[in-house]
Amino acid sequence: MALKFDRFLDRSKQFILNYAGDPGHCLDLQRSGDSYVDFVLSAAQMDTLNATPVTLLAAPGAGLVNVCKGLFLQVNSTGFTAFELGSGVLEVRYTDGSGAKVITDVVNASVESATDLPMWHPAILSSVVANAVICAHTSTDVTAGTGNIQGRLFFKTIKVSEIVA
Amino acid sequence: MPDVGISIKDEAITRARLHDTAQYVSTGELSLQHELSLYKDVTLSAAQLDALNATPVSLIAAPGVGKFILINQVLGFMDFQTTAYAGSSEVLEIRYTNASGSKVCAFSEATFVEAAADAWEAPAILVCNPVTNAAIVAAANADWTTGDGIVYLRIYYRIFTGTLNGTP
Repeated sequence: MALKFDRFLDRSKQFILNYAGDPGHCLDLQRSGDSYVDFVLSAAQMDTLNATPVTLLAAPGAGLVNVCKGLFLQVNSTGFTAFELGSGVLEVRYTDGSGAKVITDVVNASVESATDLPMWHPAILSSVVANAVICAHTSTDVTAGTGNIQGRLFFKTIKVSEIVA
Repeated sequence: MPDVGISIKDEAITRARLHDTAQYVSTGELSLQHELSLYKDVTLSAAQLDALNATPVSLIAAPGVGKFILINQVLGFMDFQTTAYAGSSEVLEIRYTNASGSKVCAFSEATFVEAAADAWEAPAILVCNPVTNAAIVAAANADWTTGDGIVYLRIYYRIFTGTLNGTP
């Protein structure tokens, strides 16, 4: 904990210096960036992603809300058999396969890319769900494929009590 | 940066003044995996807009080998002068690399670029395919035939190495 704190303290000082040295801004500045979590969806996970969504980001805890900001994805196909998703899409949702979508869908043509494919998917307006996981889900079963999909999900975690008095 | 009398070692910025940071970390509000969103302001002159089809304008320089630029948001202001831009289906676009690169977003033709008054727009960011070490450019599918307005852009973006944790 001390190491983490010292790193944030040093960075916070630098932020403040960059913003004309007013410590009054420090609390806002500390939260001006986005957090992120990296993940890999394996071929085995892709094969069952319709029935078994994979958690990308754990629930933040009582009184906290995760708000997604965007998703970088890379389909890794080189040396593998490309995925076959039929007419389905890869989705990112709150809670489970029925939750509110938080990122624009990844269309089947992208999931099925036969070459390595980087993608940027912006966040979409959606209902916000407090203390809920963010998960990956496909709308249909993946029927073939041996590669994987890597990703970095950008998000903010907001304390509800700071907004709602 | 103005001299405000504070150094990186200034004790005026203390743990006590930043005490909430520890709470944010412990409650998960801040992650060590944390990135800042950057922004850059760019002006497109009338001369640049009139030739944008043939000569795209670099907005953000290429970030370096192995790095991606990811665009979070683009905010545009059309500063109308005396003559509105005119043409037929010209679109002001933000793309990777050049006029053929993956499209990040596009401004409205009639209500932004060809508006006859000052106008604001924050176009929707599109699903796109980032390119490593590629510049971000402003481009157009055709040249406007007239017009003298100035477009001001603020581009919010981030740069990352593309090396993701958990690489299989």
